[in-house]
Amino acid sequence: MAHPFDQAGRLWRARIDRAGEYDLANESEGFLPAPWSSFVPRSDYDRARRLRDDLVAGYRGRAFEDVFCGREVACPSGTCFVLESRSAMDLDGRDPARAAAAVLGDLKLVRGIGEVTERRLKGRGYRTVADLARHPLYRREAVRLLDTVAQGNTCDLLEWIGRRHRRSDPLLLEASRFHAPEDFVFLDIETLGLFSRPIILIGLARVRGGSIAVRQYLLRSVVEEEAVLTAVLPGLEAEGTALVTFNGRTFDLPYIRERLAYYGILADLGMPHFDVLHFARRRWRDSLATCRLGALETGVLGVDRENDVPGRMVPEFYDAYQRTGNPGPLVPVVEHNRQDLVSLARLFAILRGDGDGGA
Amino acid sequence: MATAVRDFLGLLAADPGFREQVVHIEPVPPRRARYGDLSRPLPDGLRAYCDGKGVRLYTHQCAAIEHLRAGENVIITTPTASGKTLAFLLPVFERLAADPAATALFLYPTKALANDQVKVVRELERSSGIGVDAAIYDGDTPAGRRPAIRERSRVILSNPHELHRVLAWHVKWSRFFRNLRFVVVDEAHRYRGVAGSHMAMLLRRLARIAGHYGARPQFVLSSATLANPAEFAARLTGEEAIPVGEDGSPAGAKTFVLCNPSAGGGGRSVHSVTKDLLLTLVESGCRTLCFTVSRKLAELIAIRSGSVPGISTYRAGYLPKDRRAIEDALKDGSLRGVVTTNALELGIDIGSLDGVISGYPGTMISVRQQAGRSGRRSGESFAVLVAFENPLDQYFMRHLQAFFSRPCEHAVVDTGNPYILSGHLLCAAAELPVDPERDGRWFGADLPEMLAAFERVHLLRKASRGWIYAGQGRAADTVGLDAVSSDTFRVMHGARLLETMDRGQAYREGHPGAVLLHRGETYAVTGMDLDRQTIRVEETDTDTYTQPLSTTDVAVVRELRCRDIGGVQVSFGDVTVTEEVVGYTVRHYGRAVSYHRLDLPPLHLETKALWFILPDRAAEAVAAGGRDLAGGLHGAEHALIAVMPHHAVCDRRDIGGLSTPLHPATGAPTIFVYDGYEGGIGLAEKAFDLLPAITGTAHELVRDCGCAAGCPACIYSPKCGNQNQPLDRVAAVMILGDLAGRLSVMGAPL
Repeated sequence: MAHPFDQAGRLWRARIDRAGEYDLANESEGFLPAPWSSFVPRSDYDRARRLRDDLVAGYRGRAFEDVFCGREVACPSGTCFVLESRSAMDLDGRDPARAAAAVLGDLKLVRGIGEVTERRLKGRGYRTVADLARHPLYRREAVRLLDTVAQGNTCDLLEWIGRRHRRSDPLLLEASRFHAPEDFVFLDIETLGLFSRPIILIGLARVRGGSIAVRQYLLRSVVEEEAVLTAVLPGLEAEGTALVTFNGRTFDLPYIRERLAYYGILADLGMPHFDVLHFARRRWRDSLATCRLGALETGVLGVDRENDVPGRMVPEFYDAYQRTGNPGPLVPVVEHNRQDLVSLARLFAILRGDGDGGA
Repeated sequence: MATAVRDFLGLLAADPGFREQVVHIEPVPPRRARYGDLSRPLPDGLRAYCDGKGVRLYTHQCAAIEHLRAGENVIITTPTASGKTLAFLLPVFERLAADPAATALFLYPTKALANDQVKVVRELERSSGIGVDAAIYDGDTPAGRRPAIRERSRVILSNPHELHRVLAWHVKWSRFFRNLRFVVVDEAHRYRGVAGSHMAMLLRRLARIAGHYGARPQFVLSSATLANPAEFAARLTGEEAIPVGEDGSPAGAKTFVLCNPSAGGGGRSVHSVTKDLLLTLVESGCRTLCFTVSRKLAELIAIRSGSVPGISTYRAGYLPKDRRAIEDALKDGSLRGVVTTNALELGIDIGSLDGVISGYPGTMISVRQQAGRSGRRSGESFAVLVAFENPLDQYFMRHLQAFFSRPCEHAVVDTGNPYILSGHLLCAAAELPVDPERDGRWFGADLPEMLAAFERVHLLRKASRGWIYAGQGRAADTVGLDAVSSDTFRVMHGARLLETMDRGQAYREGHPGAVLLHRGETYAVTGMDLDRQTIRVEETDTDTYTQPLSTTDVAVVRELRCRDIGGVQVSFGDVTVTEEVVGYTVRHYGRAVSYHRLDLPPLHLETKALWFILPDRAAEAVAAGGRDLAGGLHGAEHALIAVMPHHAVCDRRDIGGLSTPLHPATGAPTIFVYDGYEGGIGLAEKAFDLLPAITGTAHELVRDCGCAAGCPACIYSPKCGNQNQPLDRVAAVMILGDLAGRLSVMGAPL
């Protein structure tokens, strides 16, 4: 029995299937993707399509819970599904003295002081911002900065540094030492597209006691999105939490804000935020062709992914699951996200110069 | 200036070149101003502005202000240059002055118009001292300026396309939406037919978002004169609106001249007569606006008028700064004549002029807008309509009374079109979860069915707070605002994209071997890739052109309504129209040189149609008279379609027809008239109700035509897929006469 709107539904379905958000690029044309271009190399695309078809065939008839060893958790608005995994990983401990020394050693953080003035001031014995507390002209700003450092309010401090320096300034990484390793929440989300569509996976990771614990909230259906958002929110908003992402300033965080607003959930999400993309670009821009996470993994961490799904193609993998109920296409999506989180944490550690006694 | 007008009228009467073609001269008497009073005075700043400009408020402006003060929605339909803009700007500013957080959104059909109007708004802001940070927010707004506008501006000028994209970002706009008090839709009459259905749904989405933030804005529609302002406003906004249409502004005497190049011996083209009129006017010192029905004609007439300085063209597609230069030159008098498409029908302030209208623009709404563009507050002016040799223009030339007493058209807005409705539902679900209870008021009684249909194709899922969008593409990108069809072909000239066309147009005009016209150049189609939806063309220098040959079939899917009027069985329902482009002819100056076969897949259109069966008696009479039944039905169908735009606001291209002496669904001689849009757009449905009047007009058209065996003025269709064969004019008159007579039991024909 045909319903009057089925035809319209099919029309929109067909049109949405046709309208991709990426283009295919032939590598033979000497093509190098920019970090945020919307191209997927043709060979990656072909491989991913084969992978998806193989997975659909290989996992036919298998239930979601059989494939993913996770557990159901209850949250304020329903239940959701969490996958947990762990691997070895270390971050340097909290070192507020070192962080404070680095921050206060940078006189340029005081408004009105540039390179030249800083040199002149240092020549006259003003070595740190603390010294400037005696300077007639810069006293007020210096005292305010000292207070901020003393309070250990990294959120305000990062904003302060961000006003005076670039988002890639290593001083921001030094400031991260105000935090204990377990304060850092590494975040990476997978979505059905670029904005105004559901998030399908929120991956969080924390480093504790020599290992990195990854928690992945995988949506069994987009219907669980609100539950997942409310499940992760308390952890993100907890006192002391500092966020670490790769391009999260542009993508992940605004995306989560938009989805929270979609459900009418009020949230602040004003925690300190370290976006590794900026630091990585500054550090490896000259040695790597691109600073996509994948390229950094290969070039810096020496990791080679197998059976990976290109980030841009995650939506169609999830859609395949959504339409068939076959969990196969989700397997590489979960692994992709987990690998992203682990690599993100390792890059963060390398950029901070962890374990080598200081930058 | 008045003497120049009189001189010109004298010249028209005396010059043998014009005299023969002047069919009628209609004087329109001057009108005095009627001023009104407000129940309480405007704030000082606004009063100072009015005093500074020497403005005294007319009755209709006062009416609009009082209704808006009272919290009502208003549709203002007074003529061009009657002060509609001020009628809504004053009350909007009054409210924004009283409530320092209040915001207003002004929607214009084009970016050019917003650019023009922002100057007016800013001037009011400056001289009234009421700070609103008026700003344009559209596709041209630099990304760096957008956040500040969203966060600060209280009056934002934009367009429907921009709004369509912005709604999904409502969280960034929360300050603006939370305080939204007015939504002004300028040039609202533009949103009829398909455009109207889209606008209606867009405004519902906007109201829904505003409601989410606790705001319930008032709607102000500024429109050309319409037959059904209250109904139109209610359809467009979903809320009751008070019509304000009693014009209190003054007007000088005006003379309306009808000019028919086909009259008498004929032989002169509309373009050449238009050009001569324009030149004569400009030379006799009148500042003149000349409206044409297409961009191509505008360019052509301007080129032919090139010998006289001070004449320019103006149309959509020009760069904004060029357009503004033309507007300014026209205002300061350095430009004396402008040839334009309906782009200048819009409320861009260009001062007062005389007008030449080249060809009936399709609706009385446009005639009034264009004629209204010419005109002065005091002193004489005139407008000339030059008729084309097509059925409607010629009908008016023969039925002057019908022309001058003509009411403006009904503006059709169908809010039930399943494609448009469901498309906007998808967009809405991507903006906020859709709650079937709460959101029924925006999406109608069919909402649960639509939700279920979308669930079946995995585009919507039911979550705890409502139905959420689950598609992997961005809804607002997929659901375009312009047309339902986004099944487009790209026309490539080498690596350059020349233009895009929808599939139907591609099959008809872009098939291999076709000659394609683009910006005055001719191109030959060398290849057509159906999978990649690409057409390849090469430049060619030819004076031949091609004409596609197609066959069309209509299959009845479901009859929805049926009635018997005076023995004629009239039906309305769902149909599938199948068109096959089977070949094309190559023509050289109208003569067919060769014929070629094509092998293209059929095109299907699921739409709504009205159809009726010719009574046996009428068919027998045609046969008894020795006439051709098929030719008569075909001619009657063409005539019905030719007059339909006049009864149900639409373009001739919006509707299609089919006639056959024996249709499988009815087993009898049948005429179909269908909507040219997937899903239907309410035109056939409207025609179902207006059929007696439409048939009456069509009958008069063919009966009173002076031709012998049919002509472009009566039963020849410019878009016939069968090259106007067969046609039998006498049989068509018999059939239409019989139908008109029988149907007239429903009400007198026009």
